[in-house]
Amino acid sequence: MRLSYTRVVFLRPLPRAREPALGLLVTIAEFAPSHVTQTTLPLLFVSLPDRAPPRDAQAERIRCWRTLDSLSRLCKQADLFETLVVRLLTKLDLVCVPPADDALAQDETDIEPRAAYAHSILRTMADVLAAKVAAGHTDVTKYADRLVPRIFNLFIYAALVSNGRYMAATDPRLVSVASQIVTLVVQTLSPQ
Amino acid sequence: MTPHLVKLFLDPDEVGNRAATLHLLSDLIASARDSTSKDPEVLPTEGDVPLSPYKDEVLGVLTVGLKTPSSTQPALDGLKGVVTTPGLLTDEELGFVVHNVNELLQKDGDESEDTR
Repeated sequence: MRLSYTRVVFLRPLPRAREPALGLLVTIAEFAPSHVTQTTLPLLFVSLPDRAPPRDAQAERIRCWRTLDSLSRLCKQADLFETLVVRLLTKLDLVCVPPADDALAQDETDIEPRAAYAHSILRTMADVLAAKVAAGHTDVTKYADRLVPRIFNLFIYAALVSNGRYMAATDPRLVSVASQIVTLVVQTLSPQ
Repeated sequence: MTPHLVKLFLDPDEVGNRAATLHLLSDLIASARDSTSKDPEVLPTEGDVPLSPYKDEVLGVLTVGLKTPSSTQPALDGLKGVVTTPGLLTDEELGFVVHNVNELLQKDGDESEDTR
């Protein structure tokens, strides 16, 4: 994908507009989440690829990071967060578990970008969860039986099929951020 | 005051002052909102909401303001005031605001990629 380098910087909208624009959507989502869920979120998700951007695809990696950053600022409200979790878990499955006969899966140079992408996705979920827990959102507890087992399964499955190879999902940094997520959710459960 | 500001914004000779005009407008919107009943449970009846007679024009200039970099910020401030004014916007109008903000986000994303 060729990039054009000729666009003059001051002709584009100030990147600073992004934050207040997202802030306005967060405000609207507090009392009317359906518009944001049905229009804004799909636009953001469609620009998240199903496979990790290759190491040398600078523009694509920046776009991914920016999209995940926007999602993490936007999705604290309950309905938006629910959509975020569903869509990000699906992406994670696609990224972490390559098809068994995929030749790329054998390519070691593909693994690190895949781990980095998976890590960013998990990091996004963890950051929003941490913000929700800090704000006392009560919907966090319902993710105990949804998010936690899904994440465990992902790692267990990856470990089982790895056959000793290094796989994206067995990367220690991923395990670390996943355990943060589990801790955040489980902490909100009342002791039985 | 509001119709005057709207007219000022639309005046071709005052295009350079659009950002300033929208700053004033967004302050006005916020003041109007804050001067109404503080009880969030009670929605004002239609027509009692300040600015409702000028709603269409105000939404119009704010969405135009979004599209130019220099006036994007005051336009966003004005829209925030409008959406947080209880009983002012219909659900459809809220959808219209979201649609315009989505366009802004898309444009920001597309154009940023082209720069080095």
